[in-house]
Amino acid sequence: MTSSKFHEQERRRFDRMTRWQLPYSYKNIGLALTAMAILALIGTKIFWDERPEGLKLALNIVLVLGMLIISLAKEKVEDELMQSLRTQSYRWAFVTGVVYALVQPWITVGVSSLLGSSEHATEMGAFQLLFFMLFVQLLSFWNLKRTA
Amino acid sequence: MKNRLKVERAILDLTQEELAQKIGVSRQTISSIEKNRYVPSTVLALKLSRLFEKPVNDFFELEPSDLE
Repeated sequence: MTSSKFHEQERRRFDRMTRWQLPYSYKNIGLALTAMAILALIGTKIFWDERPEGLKLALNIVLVLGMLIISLAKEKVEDELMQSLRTQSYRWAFVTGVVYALVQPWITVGVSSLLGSSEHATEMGAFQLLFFMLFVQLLSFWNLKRTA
Repeated sequence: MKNRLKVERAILDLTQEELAQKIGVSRQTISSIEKNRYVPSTVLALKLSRLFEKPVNDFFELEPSDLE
């Protein structure tokens, strides 16, 4: 196999992977999982004095998985306009996610020093960042669709 | 880029929904193109050209700002 043929096959494989999406019906599954995880996270926080860390981790996984399913599900008519808006929304999510990861720990320090506590800048958790990025992607995609 | 999509659609007496179905996109895409909010791909422009039986240049036109 020549080098150019190899690169062509690689490019096609990469294109197929990039364009891969879940069917539209999965959007409802994602919504149900997300809603269930949010309600369970809030409910266990309020009504459970010592919530097991394992349960919190499991609910965080369900939350992020649900949002990812919504993000990957096709629209009713998934055409080139939707693809373009989707690309823009992922760009928004990526850039704001990086800025959020860099800035958020220092905001925590600033706010806590204003309130008189001595909290140090700490690295944020992976789920916090994933939730933020998926939230920005879904929100910006919804907003772009609304104004397109 | 400006376009005459609305005029061409009126000539064929098509609604946005009907035109969208004929070229396999959503009604929102047709609406966005007509409002100059979205520039379609070459493939979509050629599908429109085939439907209107006119060259693409007859209903899509570059503006001076596109040439800067």
